[in-house]
Amino acid sequence: MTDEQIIQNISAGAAKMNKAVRWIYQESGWKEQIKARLKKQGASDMESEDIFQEAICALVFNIRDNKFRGESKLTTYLSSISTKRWFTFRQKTQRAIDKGGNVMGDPADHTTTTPEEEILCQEERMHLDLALDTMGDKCKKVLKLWALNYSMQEIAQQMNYKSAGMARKKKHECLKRLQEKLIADPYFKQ
Amino acid sequence: MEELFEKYWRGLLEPKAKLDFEEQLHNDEKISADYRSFAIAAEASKKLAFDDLKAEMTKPLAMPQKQRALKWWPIAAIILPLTIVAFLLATKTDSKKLFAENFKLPSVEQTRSDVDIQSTFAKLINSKDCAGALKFIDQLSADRTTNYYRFYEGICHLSSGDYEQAETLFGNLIQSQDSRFQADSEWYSLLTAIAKEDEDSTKKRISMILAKKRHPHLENTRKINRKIRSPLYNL
Repeated sequence: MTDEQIIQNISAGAAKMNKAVRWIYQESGWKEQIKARLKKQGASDMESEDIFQEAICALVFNIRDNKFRGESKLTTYLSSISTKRWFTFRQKTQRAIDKGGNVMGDPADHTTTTPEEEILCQEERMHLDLALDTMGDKCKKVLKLWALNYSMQEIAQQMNYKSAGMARKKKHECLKRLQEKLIADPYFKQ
Repeated sequence: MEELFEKYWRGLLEPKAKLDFEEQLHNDEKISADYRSFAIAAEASKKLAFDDLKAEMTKPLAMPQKQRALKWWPIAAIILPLTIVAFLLATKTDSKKLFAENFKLPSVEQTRSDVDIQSTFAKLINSKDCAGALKFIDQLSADRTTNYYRFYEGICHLSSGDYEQAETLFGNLIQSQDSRFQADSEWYSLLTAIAKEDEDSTKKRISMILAKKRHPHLENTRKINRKIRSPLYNL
């Protein structure tokens, strides 16, 4: 796939987007390249894998939000997202280690320890999951599509709603319901 | 307000609008709390989408073109022989088809003698009234029943499916060596053998005609010979 085709497919959404995502991850050869670079910068295999997957997700979001301006090749852009994400992650974990009074070492030596901040992230994820689990499947799908910046017309098509107006109404209701559930959780109240 | 929240969350606000909104967030506790609530829900939705995308990444890609083509082989393996059989059934030649392709009731020629009787008979034959023609011949006295009538009688028997009678009549005519009916009798004798599905007799009649280089039915006999020797004959 060329960069243009990938962008077109991701912008088209649905099956075409999924195909492009699979191609980037499995066929492009970018994974090996980027993971090798991240490992040189100190990431473990598992970390580099996570970072690469997150970077693809971020790329998808940026393309769908029209934030990718096409000034560089996609592989360069993805590599840049990965590197930024890795450094942010490393800074966070390093800060957490410092706060926790653990032994500070060379950041390059950092492996997959369980720093405080990572635990907090995991805890946050767990609370989000708890709230999301109480939502119906349809609501979750609407919110997922909305987060991916699908237009209301596209959401209506995907969800078999009669109109874009109906999709907008459903999205509003689902988002409100999720907000209420999250606010009701003492974890997010703090 | 939700629209403004969304644009800010997505980073789609123009710099000026972004600054204005951030000022609101700083100064207005209600808006700040509402936005926080919105942003957490939006992040949760984004997480759902991220999880989905990650799951999608590891799914197998669609099979490459070559493999996809191979997947069609089992279907093709069923369809192809069926198509061939259907084609063979549609194109196969059996004895009935071969007979129908070649048998034609000849038009009757009139001779100078016996004009009135012959004219009546000719009308029956030319109007393809074989039943009438056979009845007509039955009523003729023995001395008037010439090879001429015997020939058409044979054809009428052949036409009506009375192959034994037809075979006898054509056999007699061939033996009589009447040059007027010799060649035609050989031809209709061949058609009788085909109609009877008598393979040996058919081959003998064919050999007999093919041996005569100037036989009037040589070309048609060659065609029949090719067809009955084809593997598609009587499949």
